[in-house]
Amino acid sequence: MLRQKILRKIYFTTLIVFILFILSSFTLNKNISNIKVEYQTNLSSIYLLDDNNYLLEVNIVVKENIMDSIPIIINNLKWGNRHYSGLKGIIPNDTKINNMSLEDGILSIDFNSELLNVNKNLEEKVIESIVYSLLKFKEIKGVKITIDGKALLTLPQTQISLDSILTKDFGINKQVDIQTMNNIQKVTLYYYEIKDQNHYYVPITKYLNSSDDKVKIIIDNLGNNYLSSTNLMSYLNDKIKIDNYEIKNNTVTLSFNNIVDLTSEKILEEVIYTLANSILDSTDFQKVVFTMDDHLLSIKTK
Amino acid sequence: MYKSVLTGREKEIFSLLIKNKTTKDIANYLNISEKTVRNHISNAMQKLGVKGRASAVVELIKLNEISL
Repeated sequence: MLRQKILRKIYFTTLIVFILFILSSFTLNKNISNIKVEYQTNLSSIYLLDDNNYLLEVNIVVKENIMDSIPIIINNLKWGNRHYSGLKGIIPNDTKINNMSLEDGILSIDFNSELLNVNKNLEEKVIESIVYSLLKFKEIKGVKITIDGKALLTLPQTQISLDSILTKDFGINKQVDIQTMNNIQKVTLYYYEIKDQNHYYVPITKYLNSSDDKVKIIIDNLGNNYLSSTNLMSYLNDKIKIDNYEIKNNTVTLSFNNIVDLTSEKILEEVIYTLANSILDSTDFQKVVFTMDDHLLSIKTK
Repeated sequence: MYKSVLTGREKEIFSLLIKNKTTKDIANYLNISEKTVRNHISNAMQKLGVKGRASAVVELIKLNEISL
């Protein structure tokens, strides 16, 4: 009798504890779901140097306001800053921004003379790195660089001429592969490099001889899988191909072959990124549309 | 090696050469003789320290002296 009483007590106590637990977990979940995540990250890309002196695209956290972000960009480009995979900044540590202003899409930025205190072989890359990193902001259409108030129109060591307003037209990681005077063209091709199992985009501005239009040059070059005599690879390969393309009303429409695995969204995203950027950086076309079997996959604009 | 900056005329002639213009086209366009065009090209190549027009263009592209 006593044993039965004890067992009943244990049973009821356990039941009450269980009910209380269920009720409390409901309340707890409700509280958690009510918490709103207000944290928002603003990312931008900068261009850092690898061991082969290529500038690679790396994402960093910036501020919401563009003028607050520029010093962060410049600071991250300093060579004292070590980043993942051994990538490093390219501008001297003592570089300072004296002044900067943004007007009508042109960023005027005045540095102290330390900016050009670099090895001769890196002088041009300093400009490429700064220009390409700053042009990642949609609000910036061109960059005007001055040194202690004087326009920088020639690099002192290499004698390379600079336009007063620099754009992506200046190029990056340049490769001149010209055999004749005929049909010289310039395209910027986005490849990738693997370092420490991370993939980094590497834009290469290539000068070559070709009578084809730039879109075909880009598709053909990226379709080669890799850039010869380098360790740079392309996301376009034997399996992922462009079947055809059409240029109409400032828009390029690219149709993938149907081998692309739509479930592999990550690969598709990278293929689209490299092709869209290559076309938008190399031509005046404003829009790139990607389709497969007449289905719209993605639209990228300048 | 790069010895001095090209004159405006020399740069202009190379900018036309890379647009597939012939010496004759350039002479007509600039209203100068073909011999003068050739002289400008020759002077530019000497300044750039290269032999051949294609090599000159490569140097000028590297120096960002001509744009495409």
